[in-house]
Amino acid sequence: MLDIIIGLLMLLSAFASLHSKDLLKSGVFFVVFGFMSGLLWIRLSAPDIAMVEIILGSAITSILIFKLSRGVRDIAIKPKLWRRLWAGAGSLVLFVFLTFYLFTVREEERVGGLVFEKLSLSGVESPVTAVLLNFRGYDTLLEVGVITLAVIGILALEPKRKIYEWNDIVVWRFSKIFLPIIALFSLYITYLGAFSVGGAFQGGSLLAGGLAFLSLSGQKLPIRENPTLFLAMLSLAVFVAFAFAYALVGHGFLTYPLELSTLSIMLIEISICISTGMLLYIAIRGRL
Amino acid sequence: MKELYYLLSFLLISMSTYYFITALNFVKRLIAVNILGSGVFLFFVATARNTPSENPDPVPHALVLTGIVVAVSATALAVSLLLHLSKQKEEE
Repeated sequence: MLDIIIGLLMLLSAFASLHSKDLLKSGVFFVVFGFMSGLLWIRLSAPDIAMVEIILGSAITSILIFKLSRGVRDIAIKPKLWRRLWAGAGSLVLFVFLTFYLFTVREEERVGGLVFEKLSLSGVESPVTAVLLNFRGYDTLLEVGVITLAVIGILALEPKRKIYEWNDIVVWRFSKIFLPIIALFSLYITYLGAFSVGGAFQGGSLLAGGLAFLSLSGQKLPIRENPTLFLAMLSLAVFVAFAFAYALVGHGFLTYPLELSTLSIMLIEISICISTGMLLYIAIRGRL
Repeated sequence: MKELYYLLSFLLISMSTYYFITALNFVKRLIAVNILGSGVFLFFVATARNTPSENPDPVPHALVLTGIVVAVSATALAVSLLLHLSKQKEEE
């Protein structure tokens, strides 16, 4: 019942966000949509995803969208009739084809059983962290590479742009008090990822949320540009260094020896947490 | 009951596809892409829950986690590109 209400609210907020003429309204409804989908992830017993979705998918994406909607001028052209017609027909056909999937879907054991079987060999107790950093380490390495590349692209575009800011002394004081606490808590969440809910991306997105709050106040971190860049690129370097070090010793690329796996996963996770925070901070500010 | 999650994700996907094609505004299109991504993530998580065992499948969860972070960084890059584009248009 609760799921149905959350699902309906999600659908309504998505529709309102997409349909409203006012860009500010769309942004606000998008925040509601992200929050509702976070609640739905909790109902679907995926608390890891809920944390990341509420911070990144709802808060930080909305900051970026607000920044964009202030920067571009509103184009209020109504789409032509034929365009609406073929778009409607196309999406209807897509919906019908997707709905056919419902007739073939059934409960079955998937790869999850294999993960729980081999969990003792991974060095961590949380299955999601084991998949992210041990069983499918390539995915995570390439993901870190993708975020780093995106930030390099942002830095290459426009280094001196003004950012969306309030210039508010209250926000600045508030973030000055809370940023150290948030940073400490994000490291704790990262550490917690080895045992239960939490992990590198959750901690990193929490840190990015704190830094986003700071950058909204119009201030910047009291760190020079080069150390900021260094911290942002840290995780890629640490990840590749671990992968090559174990490959040279003879274990294979991204294959940790059993007795060292917990320590290596922990070090990589902490570096990913710091780097994700710094990279998203640069992405929100649009410059170093 | 479990089919409802799939249905919700399909509705989100097709609705945002429609608005992605018809909206002529950059901001609307970016929101549409983000909602489309959320629909796909919902499909993955619903699949992860659709097992006979007690625990949900952790592999789709890890994939969705990866996907959300990549989606946010792609959105940031898109915002930078679009701001650059609109600034260039104003200068012309």
